[in-house]
Amino acid sequence: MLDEIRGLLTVVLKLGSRGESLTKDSELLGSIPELDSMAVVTVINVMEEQFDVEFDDEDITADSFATLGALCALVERKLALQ
Amino acid sequence: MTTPAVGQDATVRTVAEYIDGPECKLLVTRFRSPIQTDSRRTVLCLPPFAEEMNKSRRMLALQGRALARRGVSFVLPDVRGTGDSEGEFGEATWEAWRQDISSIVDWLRIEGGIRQIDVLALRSGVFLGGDFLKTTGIGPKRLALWSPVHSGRVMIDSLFRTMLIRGTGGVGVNNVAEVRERIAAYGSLEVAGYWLSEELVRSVDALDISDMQLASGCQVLWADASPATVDRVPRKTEKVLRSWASGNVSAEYTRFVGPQFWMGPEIELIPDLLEKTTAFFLD
Repeated sequence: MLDEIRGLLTVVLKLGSRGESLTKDSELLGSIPELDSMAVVTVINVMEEQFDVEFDDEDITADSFATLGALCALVERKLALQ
Repeated sequence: MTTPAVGQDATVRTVAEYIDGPECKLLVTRFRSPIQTDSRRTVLCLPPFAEEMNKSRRMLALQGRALARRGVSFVLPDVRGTGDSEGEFGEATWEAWRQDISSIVDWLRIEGGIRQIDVLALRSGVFLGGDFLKTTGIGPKRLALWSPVHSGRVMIDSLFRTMLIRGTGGVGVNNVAEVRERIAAYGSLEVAGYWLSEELVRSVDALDISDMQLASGCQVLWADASPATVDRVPRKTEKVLRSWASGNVSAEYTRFVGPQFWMGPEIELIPDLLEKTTAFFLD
């Protein structure tokens, strides 16, 4: 999951090698300049497609996007609900 | 009527002209080749919603040129309140836009002598087709869908979400439900530069692709474009395609790994999608 989300963020945000070096504890929102409001929506859209899930308002919080690990946990929670 | 503006490269003529819509003048841009393989046939584009259309113009114009170069004309309309058409976006409803498309279809038939109109719909554009999509005869024998929207409600919630994340929802607006409450209270709200009336929001909320019926015998190309690298058809898409299949509609699902060119800060393109779509309409 970590690899998939890392890969997804690297592609969607065009992070290049910066993306490849993201770890579970790497901070996202606030630390990655490319992750602006439009990009958050794009990331959500792409994750929905990639994992065939649907996110609600409650899912899209600053906490969910705080770190790579938090984002992975969000997706895993969604998948577990199916 | 004003003199149409004509642009020209070696083989393709781009003609933009105003036609009489149901309530105001509508700008229709046509891409034509001097060597039409069949002048009674054209491909009509059903455009996406609001800012998605502005971001997609280049991709759609390239598609128009690609088809016209191969002898198939392409029609790119601006429904009322969008692009260079008359009318106010803030006063539009989905049904009004469907009527605009309907009047363009009539114009193509009467003024253009067109006998068969295939369709390329981008995102929520598919919902602009209305009953025309299930019309036999002049209706589409081929329908190309680029990343079609499944649910109008989900699409517009996503717009509201962007607004919230940007912090432009206004004081006391914390989630999508509250944005909707605000629209209900004030009758309209400016979202990302577009005035969304309560009526428009309601009409968009009602859009659902699983309600859509197509004419028996119609061939569909469903092409999803996104950076996601999935290797399976999404479940909800599978359901729609199965339902269409039971109505004798054959569909090909394909996906292109690439940018969601109708969003994002830069104008981006997916050349392979253009190629695939051109081949689909020429087949």
